[in-house]
Amino acid sequence: MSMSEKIRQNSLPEERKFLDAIIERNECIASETYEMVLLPEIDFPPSKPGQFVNLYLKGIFPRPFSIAGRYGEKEFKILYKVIGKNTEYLSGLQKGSRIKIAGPLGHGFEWKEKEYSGFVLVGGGIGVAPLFYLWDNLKNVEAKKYFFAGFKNSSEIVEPDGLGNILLATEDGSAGYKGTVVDLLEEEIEKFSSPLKIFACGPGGLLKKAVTIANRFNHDIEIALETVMACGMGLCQGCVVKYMAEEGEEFRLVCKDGPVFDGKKIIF
Amino acid sequence: MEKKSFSSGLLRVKLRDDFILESPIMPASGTFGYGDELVDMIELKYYGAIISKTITLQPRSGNLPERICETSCGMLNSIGLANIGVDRFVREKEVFYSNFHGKRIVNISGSCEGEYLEVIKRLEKCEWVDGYEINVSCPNVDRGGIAFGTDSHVLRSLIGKIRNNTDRFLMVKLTPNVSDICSIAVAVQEAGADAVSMINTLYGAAIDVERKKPALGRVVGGYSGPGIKPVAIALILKVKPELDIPIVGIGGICNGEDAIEFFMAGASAIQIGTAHFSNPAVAKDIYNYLVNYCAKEGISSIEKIVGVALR
Ligand SMILES: Cc1cc2nc3c(=O)[nH]c(=O)nc-3n(C[C@H](O)[C@H](O)[C@H](O)COP(=O)(O)OP(=O)(O)OC[C@H]3O[C@@H](n4cnc5c(N)ncnc54)[C@H](O)[C@@H]3O)c2cc1C
Ligand SMILES: Cc1cc2nc3c(=O)[nH]c(=O)nc-3n(C[C@H](O)[C@H](O)[C@H](O)COP(=O)(O)O)c2cc1C
Ligand code: FES
Repeated sequence: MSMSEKIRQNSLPEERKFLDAIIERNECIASETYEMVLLPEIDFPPSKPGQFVNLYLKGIFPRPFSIAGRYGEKEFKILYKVIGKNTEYLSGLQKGSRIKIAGPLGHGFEWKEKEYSGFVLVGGGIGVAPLFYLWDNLKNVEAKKYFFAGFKNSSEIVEPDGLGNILLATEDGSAGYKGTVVDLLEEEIEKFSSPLKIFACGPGGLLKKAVTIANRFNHDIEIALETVMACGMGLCQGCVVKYMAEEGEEFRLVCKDGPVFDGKKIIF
Repeated sequence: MEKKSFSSGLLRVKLRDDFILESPIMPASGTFGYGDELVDMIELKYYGAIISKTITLQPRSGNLPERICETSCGMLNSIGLANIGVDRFVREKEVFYSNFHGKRIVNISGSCEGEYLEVIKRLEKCEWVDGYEINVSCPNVDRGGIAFGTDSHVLRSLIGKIRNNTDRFLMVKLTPNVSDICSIAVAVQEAGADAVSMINTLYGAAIDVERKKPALGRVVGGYSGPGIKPVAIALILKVKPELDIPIVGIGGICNGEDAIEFFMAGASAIQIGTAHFSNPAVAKDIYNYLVNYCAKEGISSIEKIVGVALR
C-alpha cells in the first residue's frame, strides 16, 4: 500500500486532482448567470452531487463552484452568477481558454433510496447548481422527486434538464408562484407522502427556514453551505461553521467536512 | 549505500550538522494542515521538511468567524491556533510522519512556559519527530503566542528551558511586530536555538464596507501573502549580519524568483505559506525553478547564494 493510500484510509474520502482544464463552453443562460463546461486535461476523479471544484482565477484565493453536472469521465459543468471580480473575469473567458482547477472537493449529498418515499430538492438562486447534478443522479430512482426552484424574478430562471415535478417560485411573481421558494415548499410539502428527504442549497435565510420546515414535519434534510474559503481543501481552517456534535458545539470545516451537512446539526 | 536525492544535492541545505534538508522548501505552519492534507493530490517530495500547524497542549477550537479575508496583495487570518491538541496529534499523525521522506518539524505554542515544555515532553517520546518550530509570534490569541515573541527577556528564558529539554533541532519563529527584531533574534541564539524562522504575519485589518464592520470577527488579524515580502526581506537583511545561526525565510514567497530573493538576502531555507492557496503545487514549481537556476548560474549548490546580497 502506498503512503497516500495509507493516509487516505483514515482521513480522505475520495481522490482529488489539481490540473488544467479547457473551457468547452461559457454561455450566458439567464440574467448574469452562466453555464460553463470544463474539459480537464486528464480524467477527472469520480464525483458526487454536492461536491465542488476550485477555479484558480485572479488574486489570492481560488473560487469554489459546485459541480452542476457531469458528462462521462472527464467533462463537467458549473453554473455561476457574476457577483464580483473573479466571476466577472470568468464570464469573459473564451471557449478554448485554459484554467487551473482542483477537485472534486468536499463531501456530497447522501441518499438511501429505500429509506424514503420522496426526495425534495430546494434551491434558491444560483443555489440550484449542485441540485441540478443531484437531479440527474436521481433520474432512475423510483421514489417521488420534486424540484423546488426559486428566483428573484423571471429573468434569473434556470431550470434543470429532464422530466419530473419542477415547482417554480419568483419573489416578484413574474413566473410561477409569487413568493420565496421556502414559502412554496411550506404550502406543498404536506401533500407529499412521508418519509421525505430534503436537499437544500441557497442563501442562509433559505436554509434556515428549510430546516425549520424539515423539523416541523419530521423529515431528514441535508444542506449545502457556503462560506468564504481561502484554500477549499482543509489547509487553512478558515471556513468554519458551528456544528452540534454529540460532545457539544464545535467548529466544522465547510470545505472538507461539508459543504453538505445534516441541516439539523448546523447552528445558524 | 546512501540514497541519492533526486536533485543530486543541488538544493541540499544544512541547518545544523545533523539536520540536513534535501530540499530547502518547507510549508509554513498553518497553511498546509498537519502536512498530510494533500497526499492524494500533490507530490510531497519537493518539501525537504514538513511543518505541522501549531500544536498546543489542549485542543483549541480557534476564533469565531469570519476568520479569513482576501486583500489586494495578500490575506488576513484570525484562525487562532485551532488544532487537535498534542495527544490526538501524536495518535493520529504517527503513520504519516513516520513515512514522510524528509525532516519532520512540529510547530508548537502555549499560553505559559509550562505548556510549551509539556508539549515538548510528550513529543520527545515520538521518534518520528526531528525538530521543533517554536511559535512565539501568533497575533491571533490573547495569551501566549506573540506575548513571548516581543520581549527578549521572557523569550530568552522560554527558549533556554526548551533547549534544556531537547537535543532536537530547535527553530524559533519571529514576529515582525516588534521595534527591534535584532535583539530578539540575538536573544534566541544566545538561548541555544539552532535557527530562526521569519517572519510570522504582520498585524492587519480590513473593513467590510457593505456590512460597515471589520472584515474579521476578531477585528485585527495576521496579514500574509505577496504584500509582506518586502517587509520580510528587509528584516532578514537586518538580522542576518547579527546572527551565526541560519535563518529560514518566510513571507509572501509565491514563485522561484521570490525564493531566490530570500536566499540572496540571507535565508538558508524557505517556507511557503499563503501561496499554497492560489497554487497547491507551488513547491514543485519553486523546486524546479531552483534546480534550473543553479544549472543556469553554474553553481553546485543553492547554499552558494545565501546572503550574496549582503557581501
Ligand atoms: C462550496 C461552494 C460552492 C459554490 N458554488 C457556487 C456555484 O455553483 N455557482 C456560483 O455562482 N457560486 C457558487 N459559490 C459562490 C462563489 O464561490 C462566489 O460567488 C465567488 O467566490 C465570488 O467570487 P468573486 O471574486 O466574483 O466575488 P468577490 O469579489 O469575491 O465578492 C463579491 C461579493 O460576494 C461575496 N462573496 C464572496 N464569496 C462568497 C461566497 N462564497 N458566498 C457568498 N458570497 C460571497 C463577497 O462578500 C462580496 O460581497 C459557491 C461557494 C461555495 C463556498
Ligand atoms: C491561514 C493561516 C494560518 C496560519 N497559522 C499559523 C500557525 O498555526 N502557526 C504559525 O506559526 N504560523 C501560522 N501562520 C503564519 C504562516 O506560517 C507564515 O508565517 C505567514 O503566513 C507568512 O508567510 P506567507 O506570506 O508565505 O503566508 C498562518 C498563516 C495563515 C495565512
Ligand atoms: S477553506 Fe481552508 S480549510 Fe476550508
